[in-house]
Amino acid sequence: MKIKTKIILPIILVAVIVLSTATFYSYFFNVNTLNTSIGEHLNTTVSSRSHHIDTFIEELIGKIKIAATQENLTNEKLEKIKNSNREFSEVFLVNLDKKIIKSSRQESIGLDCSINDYLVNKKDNVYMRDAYISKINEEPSIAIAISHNKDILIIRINLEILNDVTTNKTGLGNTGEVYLINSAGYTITPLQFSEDTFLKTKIESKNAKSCLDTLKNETEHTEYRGGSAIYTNYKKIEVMGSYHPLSIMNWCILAEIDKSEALAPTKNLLKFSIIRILIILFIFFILTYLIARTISKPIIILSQGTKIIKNGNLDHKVGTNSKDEIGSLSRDFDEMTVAIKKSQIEIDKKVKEQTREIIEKQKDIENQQEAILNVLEDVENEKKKTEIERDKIDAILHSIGDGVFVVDKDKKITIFNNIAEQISGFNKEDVLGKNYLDILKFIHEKDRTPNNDFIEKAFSLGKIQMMKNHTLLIKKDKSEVPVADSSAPIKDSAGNIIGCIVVFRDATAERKAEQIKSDFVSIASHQLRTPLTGIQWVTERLLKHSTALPEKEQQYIKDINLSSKRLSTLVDSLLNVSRIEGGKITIKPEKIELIDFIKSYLTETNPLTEAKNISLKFNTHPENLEILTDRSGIRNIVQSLVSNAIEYTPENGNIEVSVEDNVEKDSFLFKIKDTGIGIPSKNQATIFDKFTRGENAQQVKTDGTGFGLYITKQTVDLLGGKIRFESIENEGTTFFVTLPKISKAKEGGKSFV
Amino acid sequence: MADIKIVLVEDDEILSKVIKEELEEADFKVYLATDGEKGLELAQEKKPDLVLLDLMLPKMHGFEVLENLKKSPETEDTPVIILTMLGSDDDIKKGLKLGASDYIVKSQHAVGEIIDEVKKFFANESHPEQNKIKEKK
Repeated sequence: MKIKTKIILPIILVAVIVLSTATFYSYFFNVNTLNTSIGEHLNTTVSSRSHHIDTFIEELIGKIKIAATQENLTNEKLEKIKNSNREFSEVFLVNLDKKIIKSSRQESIGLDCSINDYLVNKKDNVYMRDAYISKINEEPSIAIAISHNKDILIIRINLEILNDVTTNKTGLGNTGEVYLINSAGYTITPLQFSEDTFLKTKIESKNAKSCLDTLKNETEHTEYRGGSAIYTNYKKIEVMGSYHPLSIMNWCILAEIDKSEALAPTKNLLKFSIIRILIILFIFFILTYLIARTISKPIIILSQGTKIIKNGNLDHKVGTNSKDEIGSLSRDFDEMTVAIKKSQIEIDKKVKEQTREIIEKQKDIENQQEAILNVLEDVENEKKKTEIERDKIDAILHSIGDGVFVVDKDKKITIFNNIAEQISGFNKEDVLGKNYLDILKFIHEKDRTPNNDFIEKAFSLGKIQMMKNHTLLIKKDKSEVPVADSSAPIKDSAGNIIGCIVVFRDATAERKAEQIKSDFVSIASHQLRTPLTGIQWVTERLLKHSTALPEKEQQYIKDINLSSKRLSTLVDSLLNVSRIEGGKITIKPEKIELIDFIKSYLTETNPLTEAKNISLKFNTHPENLEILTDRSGIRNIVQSLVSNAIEYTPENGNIEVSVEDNVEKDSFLFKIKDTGIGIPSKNQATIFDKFTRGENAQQVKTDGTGFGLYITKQTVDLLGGKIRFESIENEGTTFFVTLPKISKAKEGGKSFV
Repeated sequence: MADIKIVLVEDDEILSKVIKEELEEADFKVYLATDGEKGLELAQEKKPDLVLLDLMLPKMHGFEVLENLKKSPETEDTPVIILTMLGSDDDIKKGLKLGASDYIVKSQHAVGEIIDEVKKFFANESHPEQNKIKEKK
C-alpha cells in the first residue's frame, strides 16, 4: 500500500463514519421533530374544531332553553322560532303520548315521535338525540328536546351545517381530512374519499377506538389534550392522526393525514443529506489527497534516489529542499552515500593490495609445487627401486615351498604366496587387504577352538612362535587340513612390530606318519609286554621253587627278573611318551587321600633305600589331604621323582619329601629334596626335554632313557600344575611341584601307564 | 579249596602255564582254554566259579566270549575277571559294562599278586558290592 493511500484511506474512513453518524442523527432528529409538529398540528386542529362544535351545541342548548321560556307555543310561534335560526329544520311539540301536537311544519302534526331516542344525552335538562336521518326530508339531523309544560319541545337541526367545520382542510394538505363519528363509531360527517357515508361507514381505526373508550370511561371532559398516532385508517392506509372526544354528544372528532404526505419533507431531507455527505467527502478527498501528496512526494523522491544509488550510482543526490524530517533524512542519506563512496574507494584499494599479495603467494606456492614435483619424481624413482626390491621379495616368498602369508599391524593380509593358496584353497584376491581372522581359521584339532595364539603372541611378545601341535586350517571349501609351523614378528629398523609373517605347511603327511608311529609304539609295546611278563612271571616262579640252587645262580635269576622289569618300565615310558605326544591322554579326576597315597608308595621303596642306606623322611603339615586328580598321573609324578632321588643319591645320603597345603590357592606343594649328584648348570635349561639327561647322571646310571623328567613335566602340565627345581652339582637337587587340588577332566584318550 | 572251579582263557602258552600252576598250587581247580571259542565252551560246560578272561584271543575276542556268557541264563551269573595287558580305560570300561566283575592288568603285577587278587575275590564274594574297579598299583 502506498503512503498516499495509507494517509487518504483512514482519513476518508473516519470522515465517512463521522459524517454519516452526524447526518443520520440529524435526519432522525428532524423526522422526529416533524412527527411531533404534525401531531401537534393535528391535535390543535381537532381540539379547535371540537371546541367549535361544542360551542355550536351549547348555543343550540341556549336557544332551546330560550324558546322553552315562551308560553302558549303555537304553530306560528314554532315556525317563527324555526325561521329565526338557519340551521333549524323543524320545531315541534310532542305530548306524553308521543304524538306531535304542534309543529312548524303542518304535515308533521299527528305523527308519532320516538321520545326514547332522546334519552341518550342530557345537559342542563336538555336532551339530545344522536345523529339520525330524518324521516320527513331524509336529511342528516340531530334533535334536542326540553320539557315544556306537560309537553316536550323538540328542535330538529340539519347536521349538514357541521360539514363546514369538518370539510375545512386548512393546513391538512391533500390527503388530510376531519370527520365526526357518533358513539357507535359511525361517520356522521362526509368522508373525503367516499360518498353517502352518513351512519353507514363504521370507523374501527385505533384512534376511533381510543376516543370512544375515553368517552365511555370518563364522564366529564372539561379539558382533553387529545393524542396523535400513526395507524391504519378506514382506507387501509397508514396515516398520522389525532382525535378529540365531544362529550356532550358522545361523539368523536378525528383528523388524519396520510403518512406518506405528512413525512414527504423527510424524504427530501434524506436526499439532501446524502448529497451533502458526498460533496463533503469529495472535498475531503481532494484535501487529503493534496496533503498526502505533500507528505509522500519527498519520500517517493527518496525512494527513487535510493534505487538509483542501489544500482551503483553513488554520485546521485537525493537532496530535497523540504525542511521537515523527511527533508533532513534525505540530506543525511546524501551524506551517507558520500561516506559509503569514500569507504568503497578505500575497500577497493585494500582489495587491490590483497589481490597483489595473493598473486605473490600463489607464485610462491607454484614454486613450492614445482619443488614438490621434483621431490615426487625422486620418490617415484625410489619407489620404482623399492618395487623392484619388493618384486624380488615377492618372487622369493612365492618360491618358498611352504605357505607364507604376511599380515600388517592391523592384521590385514598383505602377502599370500602360491603355496598358501594351494593349502588354504583361497586365492590372493580372496584374502589380500582383509583381516586374517576373518578368512584364515586356525583351530585346535581336538576341541575345535580357535588357535590363533601363535600369531597373536608373535605380535604381542615380538618373538617367533611355533604353531601348536594338531592345528587345523579350515579351507575355503570348509574342509580341514592339518597344518604346522610358525609365525614371526616383522620389525622396522626402530624395533617396532609392524606385522607378522606366518609360515605354514600341509602337515597331512606328518600327521599320518605320527599316527603310524603312535600305532606302532602301541602295538609294539603290547607285543613286547607279553613275553616280558612271561619272563618276569617265570623267573618269579623259578625263584620261588629253586631254593636249592646255589646263590650265584639265584642271583642270575634275580638279574633276569630285574632286567625284564626295567624293560617293562621302558616300554611303559615309551607308551606314555607316545600318548602324551599324540595328545591321547585321559585325565580322569578321582578322590585321593594324598598323604596316605605317598606314604604307601614310599613304603614300597624301603628295600631300595635300605640297600643304599639312604635316610628318607616324609614331612607333612597336613595329616590328611584329600585331592581330586588323576590317579595314574599323580602316581607317575611321585614315582618318577622319588625313584630319581633314590637313584642319584649316593649311599648314606638323605632324602626329604614334604607336602604343604596352600589353602588360599586351593593347591598343594610336593617337595622332594635330596643330597644327590645334582644337575649340572649347563643341563638345567633342558633337563625337562625328551632324551636329555644330566651329564653326571649318565655316569651313575648308564641305562637311563631320558624320558623320566620329560614325562613328569608333561604330566604336571596336564594336571594343571607347575614344576621347577633348584640344584647344585654334587650337593643335591630339590624339586617343587605345585598342583591344583582339583584337576580338570580331559577325555578322548587313554590314561597313563 | 579244590572244589572252586576256575576257567582260565589265555592264549599265551607261557603266561597261561604260569597262572595255571600258581592257581593250582593255591588249590583251585583250573580248566584252561587257549582260544575264545574253547573258553566259551568250557565256561558253559564246567559251570566254573570264576572265569579269568584274556581279551586278545584267537578265534573269538574276549568281549564276545563275555557277551555270550552274560546272554545265556545258565552262565549269566558266572563271575568274570578280565585279564588285560595294558591299562586301557576304554577296554576296562567296556568289559565292566558287559558284566565283568573285575579286571587285572597282567604286566603290572607279579604273578603272585594275581593269585592274591583271585583269592581276595573269593573272600569278598559274599559282598557283591565289592565288584568295582580295582585300583591299579
